[in-house]
Amino acid sequence: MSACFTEDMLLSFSEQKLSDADASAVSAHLDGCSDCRIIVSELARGQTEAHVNEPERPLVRGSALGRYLVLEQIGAGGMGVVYAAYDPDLDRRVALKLLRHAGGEKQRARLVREARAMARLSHPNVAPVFGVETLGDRVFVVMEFIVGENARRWAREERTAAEVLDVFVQAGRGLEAAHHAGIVHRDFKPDNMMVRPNGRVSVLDFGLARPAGEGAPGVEVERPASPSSLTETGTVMGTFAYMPPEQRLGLPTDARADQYAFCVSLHEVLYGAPPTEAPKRTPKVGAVVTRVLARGLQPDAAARFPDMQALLVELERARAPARRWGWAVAAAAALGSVAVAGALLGGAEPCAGGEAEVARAWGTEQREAVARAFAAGGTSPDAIRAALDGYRAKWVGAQREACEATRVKGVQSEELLDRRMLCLGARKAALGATARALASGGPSLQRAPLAVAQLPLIDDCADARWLLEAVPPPSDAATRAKLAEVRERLATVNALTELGRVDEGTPLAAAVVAEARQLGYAPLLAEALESQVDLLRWGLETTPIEVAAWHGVQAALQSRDDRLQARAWLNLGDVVGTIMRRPAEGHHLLDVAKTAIDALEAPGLLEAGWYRSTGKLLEIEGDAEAAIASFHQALERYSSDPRTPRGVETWVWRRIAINHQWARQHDLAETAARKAVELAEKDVTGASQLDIALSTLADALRSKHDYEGARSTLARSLALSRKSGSTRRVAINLMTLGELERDAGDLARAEDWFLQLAACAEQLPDPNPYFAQALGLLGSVQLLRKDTATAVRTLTKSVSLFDRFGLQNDLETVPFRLSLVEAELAAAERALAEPRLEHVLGVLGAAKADAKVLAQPRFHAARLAWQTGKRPLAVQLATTALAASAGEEHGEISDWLSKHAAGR
Amino acid sequence: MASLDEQFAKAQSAWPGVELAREDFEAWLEGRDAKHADELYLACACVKGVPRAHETFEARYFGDLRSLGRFGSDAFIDDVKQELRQRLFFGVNGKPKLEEYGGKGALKQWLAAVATRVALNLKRTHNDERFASLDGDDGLFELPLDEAGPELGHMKEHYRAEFKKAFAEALATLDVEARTYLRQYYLDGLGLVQLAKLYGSSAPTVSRRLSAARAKLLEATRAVLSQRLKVTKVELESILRLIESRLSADALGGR
Ligand SMILES: [Zn+2]
Repeated sequence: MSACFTEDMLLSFSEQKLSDADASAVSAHLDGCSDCRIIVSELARGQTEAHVNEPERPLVRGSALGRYLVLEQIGAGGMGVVYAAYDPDLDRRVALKLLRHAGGEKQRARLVREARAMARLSHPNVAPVFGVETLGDRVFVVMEFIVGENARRWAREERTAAEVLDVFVQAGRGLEAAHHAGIVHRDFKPDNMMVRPNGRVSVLDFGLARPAGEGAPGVEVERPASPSSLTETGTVMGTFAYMPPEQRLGLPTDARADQYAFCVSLHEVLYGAPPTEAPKRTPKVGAVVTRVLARGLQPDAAARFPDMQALLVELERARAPARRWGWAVAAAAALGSVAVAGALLGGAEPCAGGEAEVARAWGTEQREAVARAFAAGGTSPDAIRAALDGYRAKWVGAQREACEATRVKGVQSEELLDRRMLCLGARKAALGATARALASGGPSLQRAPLAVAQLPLIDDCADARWLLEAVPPPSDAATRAKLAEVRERLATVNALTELGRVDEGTPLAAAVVAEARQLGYAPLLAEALESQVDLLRWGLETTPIEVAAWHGVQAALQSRDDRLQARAWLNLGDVVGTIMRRPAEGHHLLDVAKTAIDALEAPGLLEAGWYRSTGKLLEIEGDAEAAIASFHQALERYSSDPRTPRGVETWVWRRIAINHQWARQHDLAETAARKAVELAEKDVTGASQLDIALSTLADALRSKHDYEGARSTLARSLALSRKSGSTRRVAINLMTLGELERDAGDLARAEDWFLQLAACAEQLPDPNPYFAQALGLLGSVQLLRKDTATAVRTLTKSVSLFDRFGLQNDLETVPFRLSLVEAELAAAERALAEPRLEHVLGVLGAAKADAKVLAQPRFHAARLAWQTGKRPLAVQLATTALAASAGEEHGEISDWLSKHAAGR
Repeated sequence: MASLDEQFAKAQSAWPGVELAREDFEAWLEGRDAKHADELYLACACVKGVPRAHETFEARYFGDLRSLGRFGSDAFIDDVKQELRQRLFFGVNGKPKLEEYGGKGALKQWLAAVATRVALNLKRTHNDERFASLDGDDGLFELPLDEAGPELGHMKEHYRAEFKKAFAEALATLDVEARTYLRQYYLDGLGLVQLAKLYGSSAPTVSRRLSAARAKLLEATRAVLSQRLKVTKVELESILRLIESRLSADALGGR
């Protein structure tokens, strides 16, 4: 091992400040030196916190900032960086503004004071500040997480003068309220006004503000390169382009500075350019607005309005005539929905087109195709048909209602109509894809009721808040057409998944994910990844599942869709905890999922899913009791929801049974297992689960020594596995049955089961040690039954098969070899038995002396050795066996030794 | 970059009451990274024995040593602090350890590194049992095996010694990076996010590499083992497990 590196070097390594050559030298050393490696790990641990003190390095998702969990960076500027984060204590999403180093203690204290003042201010047009916290020498402000866009972005689309005025009057009210509380903003600009989806405006970033009249902001003004960039010096200051002359000169400022900034902003949004530049637009504004701007932009503060209130009174006057239309209706944008446009062309009734539209997804043609598929499978399509008809009828109603709200009643914005239609379009695609998948028939029709139950809810499309808060859909027609196409294919993936047609679904899912990624529309990508995770769970490879789940969280965060986010975190927690088997990390991720789920108005089955995943994690960690409690919580929610797939409840009851058994609560285990069996019996879609439920019940009964009950349960399980056509599952059942009878002492029955097992195992494809094993089990029972001649024949065949597989020295074959020796001795075949015993003793001698599993074979060998006259060796073997044995076995061996060791 | 005067003034105001001579400060910055000039100021003051420097240093940085809690009790941490005082300010051969701090990162981090080494050495001299679990790869041996199928877990139970030998052989076949990833993740308890940060990567990438390393390790172990001990009955059980894992694919709830 090379000499250890200095701590300074290791620190450089962890900060990635070393040259490649040095870094690989350190890497090589870490491989051989656990001390240095542990030190580097400690440094990595410390980095989470250390980085808080280095503003130029952004916090990554998942890191902790105080008690908050950082989700993503949502903005950055001279003031600091803004992150979206979870507040686990209050179960809500927040925005955290991590302020840049404010310099000395005094300035920091002032920032804290101001933020506290803001926290006391409550006004609909001021972004709520929940509080201010310090961590080390950093200050961060906790604010409401506002969904919406800032006025600069908002103004990128064509806006009418009335809309603009409405937004600015609201922002002005926010400033006015702050001024009343003695707070001046000093950095007001379009970027600091957030327009929410419902039209409400909130003013952000009073971070620069200070109590009115507290002196000048400092004189170190640097002229920034562009109006929108932020200054960054030791002294906090506003943005140059929006500053009144007094502020630029570093003279004392008051609330009238905000008036000036307000008017610069208003001018910029209305005319597309600041007052100092030529207008890019000519909005239809009256003389009143021009007058307000002229006065508000006076270089001399005394010549402006006395206060915001006076300014707003004037502005309200300008807005009055335009107000009748309201902001949302006036937004009649270029976002026309194709479906609605078609309906409009159709005739007098603008909203009657839904029926014809949905018929293309589920109409006469599809009904007949599905009926044919079911007829081919010999089952009735009635239930499925009725369910899909019901879904279709509901869709038509929802489509009409959404359309009429805008087109007939005029109470809904075009934007909301557009989003509702997109939502309904996705549901229509799901209906069509399910119909197509069902029509192609096959054994998966068994799962048809499950697939239909999992169709996305139509009611969701009436949830305006949810629809509007999500990231807006693309507006150009080509992208939207592509989006609809990809959504269609995604619906097909989901239908195939629900029907269990994994091989068809998997490649399609990968293609859909790639397409969604290319489109760059986060909500679709998040859904596509979610479907991909569902599919990958069926496979054997685990790594791709975790990768897809992580990407799913990323996309869901970008989608700004609460439900997608909750589902994505839940999925990730489940994958990491139960599939990747990292339960501690899984719990952490599930905690995040919980806060997201709790924030939902209608969590649906997500809560149940959360308890189910948590239960599984607890089970993996060995906490049976807590796991059972969590599983019961899940059941409570599943059983009250009609959308629960039955198979899930069966699964949960079975886990409860297994956990009770681990906790040695055999009666409770039996009850739970019976519940699982009962549910599986009732479930037409989950027939495949019944035999597994029965095996669980049989195990519970065997633990209670209820051999009779275990026997009949296993017999049923066996019958089912025979029907399923799986030879391996039949073999497992036969082996368990034979062992049960052997343990229960019914050797005749045991022999019978093992005979069947041998017959069954013979059919399994080569190479196949199971057949040899089956014969070994059979022969051992024949020997116990004193059917010596048959036992010799069977065991000889078993052992020679094992040998053919190259298992001559395999420890697991030793018991069968010893049985054969015993049988051969009993049949007076010493010439065969002795060399065979010699070989086994050699194998045993090479094995570890303290192997507990070898105690029994060793003792067996000892008795046979004694029989053949190798007395000292026999005693030695028995002594070794004694040391590794326990319980009954131990007593038996020590009895034997006390009889034989002395008389040697 | 601020001028030396500014740096000096700033450092002075950062440690009120610790008066380091300007020429000492200037000489000290020679060959060190002035990005952490404030912290270098204090380090220099401690080495030069400037009045109140040691107290200031301890007041500011020793509280952070609570993070060493994973190595031992409060009493143990007190021992570490005692040892640190000696080494940092006076040194073992009259060369104070703080001289080595070059400003390559935060002083707090550097101190964490030194303290960790002191703690590990102290553990070794105490011959502490908890140290044994930190040393070597025994912890890795306990790495979760279920995902690799139950037969491996079964083998581990029954042929522990053989398994351990095979495991060590398999571990040696991995590349250096993969081995370190696994050890830092499983033995040192680093999270994905922390590993990603340490290697300038992203959590999904780290997760991917980690899983690949784990898969390779288990595969190699299995290969070594299946040569020594042939699998028989146990494979049957793995089929049951497979059925089980497929079942749990059923709806996590709520699409
Ligand atoms: Zn080392």
